[in-house]
Amino acid sequence: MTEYTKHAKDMNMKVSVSIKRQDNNLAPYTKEYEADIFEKSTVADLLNLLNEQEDNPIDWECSCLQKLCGACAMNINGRPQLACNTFIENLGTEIVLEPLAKMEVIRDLRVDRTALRKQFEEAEIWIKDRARTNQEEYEWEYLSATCLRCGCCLSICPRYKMDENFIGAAALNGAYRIAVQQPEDEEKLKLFRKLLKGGEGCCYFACEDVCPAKIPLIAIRERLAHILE
Amino acid sequence: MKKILIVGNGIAGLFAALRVSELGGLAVLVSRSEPMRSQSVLAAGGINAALDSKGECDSVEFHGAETLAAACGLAEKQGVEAMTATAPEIIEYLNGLGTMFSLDEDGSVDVRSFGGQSKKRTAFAGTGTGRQIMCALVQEVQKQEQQGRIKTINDLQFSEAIIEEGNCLGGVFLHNTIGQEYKIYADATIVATGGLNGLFGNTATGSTLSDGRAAAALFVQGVCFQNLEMIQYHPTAIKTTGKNILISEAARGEGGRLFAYKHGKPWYFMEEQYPEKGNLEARDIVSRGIYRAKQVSDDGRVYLDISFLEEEIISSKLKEVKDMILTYLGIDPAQEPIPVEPAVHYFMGGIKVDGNHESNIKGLYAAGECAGRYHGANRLGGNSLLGAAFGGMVAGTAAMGAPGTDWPIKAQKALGQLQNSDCEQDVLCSESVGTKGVIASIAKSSSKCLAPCKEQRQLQKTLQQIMCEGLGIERNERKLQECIDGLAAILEEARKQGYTDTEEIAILAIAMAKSARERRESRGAHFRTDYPYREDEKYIKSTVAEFADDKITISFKSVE
Repeated sequence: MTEYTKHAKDMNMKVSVSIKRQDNNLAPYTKEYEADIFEKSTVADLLNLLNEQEDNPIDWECSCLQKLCGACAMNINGRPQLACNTFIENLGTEIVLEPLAKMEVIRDLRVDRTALRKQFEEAEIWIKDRARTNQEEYEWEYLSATCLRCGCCLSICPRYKMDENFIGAAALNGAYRIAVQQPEDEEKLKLFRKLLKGGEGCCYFACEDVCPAKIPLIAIRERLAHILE
Repeated sequence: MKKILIVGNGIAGLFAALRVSELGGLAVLVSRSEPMRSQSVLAAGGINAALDSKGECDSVEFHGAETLAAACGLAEKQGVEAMTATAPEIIEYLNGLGTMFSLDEDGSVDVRSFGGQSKKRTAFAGTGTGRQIMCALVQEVQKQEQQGRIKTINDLQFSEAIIEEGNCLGGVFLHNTIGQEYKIYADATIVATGGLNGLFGNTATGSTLSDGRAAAALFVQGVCFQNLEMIQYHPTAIKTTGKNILISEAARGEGGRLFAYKHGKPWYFMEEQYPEKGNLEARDIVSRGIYRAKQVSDDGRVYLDISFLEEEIISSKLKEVKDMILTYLGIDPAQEPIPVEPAVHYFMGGIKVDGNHESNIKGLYAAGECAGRYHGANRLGGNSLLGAAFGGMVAGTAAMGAPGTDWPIKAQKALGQLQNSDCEQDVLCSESVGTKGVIASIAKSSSKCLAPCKEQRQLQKTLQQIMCEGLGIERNERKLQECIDGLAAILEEARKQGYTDTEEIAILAIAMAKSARERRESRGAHFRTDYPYREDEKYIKSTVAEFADDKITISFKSVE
């Protein structure tokens, strides 16, 4: 038992929730719900609560429920974030849930992240031979490897999908780590230089602002640029 | 080229795929979700290997001996010793792939203390070891995929194995969202589908995706399971609105202390009762200690205190632990103690496999938490990632060496039938295994959401409650019998309503409860208040559960 689960009834909130729903290949529609929910609950709890009463359950991706896996990333009140780490008390009484923008919708709030994976593939985010350890860069490398591959950064980026040469923050964040671990792989550094150039010219840095893993994407990109100089 | 089907993309599945690829095969890596969603990313504390870098005279033999001691006679010696002997090599391999292991002053992989062990041998990457390892493995898998040695498919849910005359020829899968069914044929099949959290619901600390459905389907198909009653309760979880979140053993490894208030004063029950290892006793002992201390404490609670640790330790080595508690409990552990309780964490038992990780069905292998091989009656902290990595390697190697099946002929036959029966042949996936039509779609798509209806979900919830009550930290004959009876009623209802998933889960759950009932002694994680002692004369044996002719049989077999 915790302070949070021993809550009093007056710690509940009445919320109205509108959810953008979509079945395969059919036009999206908005469905409205009402809920009475403990204010310390998360949006993930809210979805479970709504689904208890829903004959056609709202589809959303869920795995860890502790902000470590990235599955439940969705647009909550217009901002890409994790349902399991977004608390009702911070949202107000009107809650709008939509799938991540700029991603293909599979159903309801579940999206297809193949496009994100393709960016990693294009940037060749992997070690060719053997990674080197570098004590000085360790903290930054560690942070860069906490990427959840959730897609929030791409989803919020104004340039993503506007420009075919553009590579998003997630892949560049990976590129930084590979550049540190394999400084001798000239071919790859060359590729990274090209990609970095393609990523220039933006930017509101909304990606860093929304990153659920709180990766310092701007600083990491600068470090990458420095290594590639 | 040999084609090996691997189901599940956590650490065991990825290790198996990489091994298959290394040996020149094609790994078809199928899962219902992307690898970063697997439970492996939750593994916080570390991975054991006797690197002996602290001048403590540690050795792979001693690591083996401590693993076997924790297993209480239920783990096979040769297998465990092979695992601990390979551990340093696994760390080296992961390091080479770019895993961000925490380093000591010399720049070598650092190791720390962990539960149940007397040497510092747990390598770690901050408090996010699993995620850091997965990051490196996912990169490597993507590289191999680029080179055509691995094919990943991330949206297929395992329905059942294709078994003919005792041989496994592949698996049947259901598309996550469109409801289409696929058959995948392969030379050998490795299941790495994780633990059985779905039998216990959100009281378990792991991923909701480790729901036990694959294991339950295999059990119903005649795959033998062993030591199902051996369930590890992690001593320290916090109860949040969504689920029980685990607080890594690292918190105690770095010096955190457990206490309960008794007559208004803190009582450090673990240190008092177990002066040698204290708060870092084996997990079953700490969990029982907490369970009992709660019953006699002033407020019915037990606390974990790390507030007295140096700020530097909390903000560096326990950063993610602190963040998790602050986020989900609103408590700053640097200021006040954390209310904790034991929670279902790991299933030591699972699919019964031999030294090659092969099950009783030829060509069907299992690795990782879904297999029961290395941990016996209790698992050491830091041995789960190791067991998953090593198991995946062994299964991948063995599957590549296996004679293979005559799947091409059978697949052709099956396909012929399909074409005749007006089913669409899949073109989308056929390139994935090279041979056209090896993946065949056998049902037309439907666009209905596959989530169970609310009545079915309610029935599953009831099943989970029954399991939590019957298979808690302390068990007895009466509670287990009530549990079995309750499950039988669930099974009947599931059959009546045609809820196949729930039916299979209920059958596996009954097998688990019966295994616990038949083991009339206490050993490791299995504690019976009516039989509180270990009975070596009778029970240094594995419980083996089998399902045939609609009947569950539990027998005791010697540990092999």
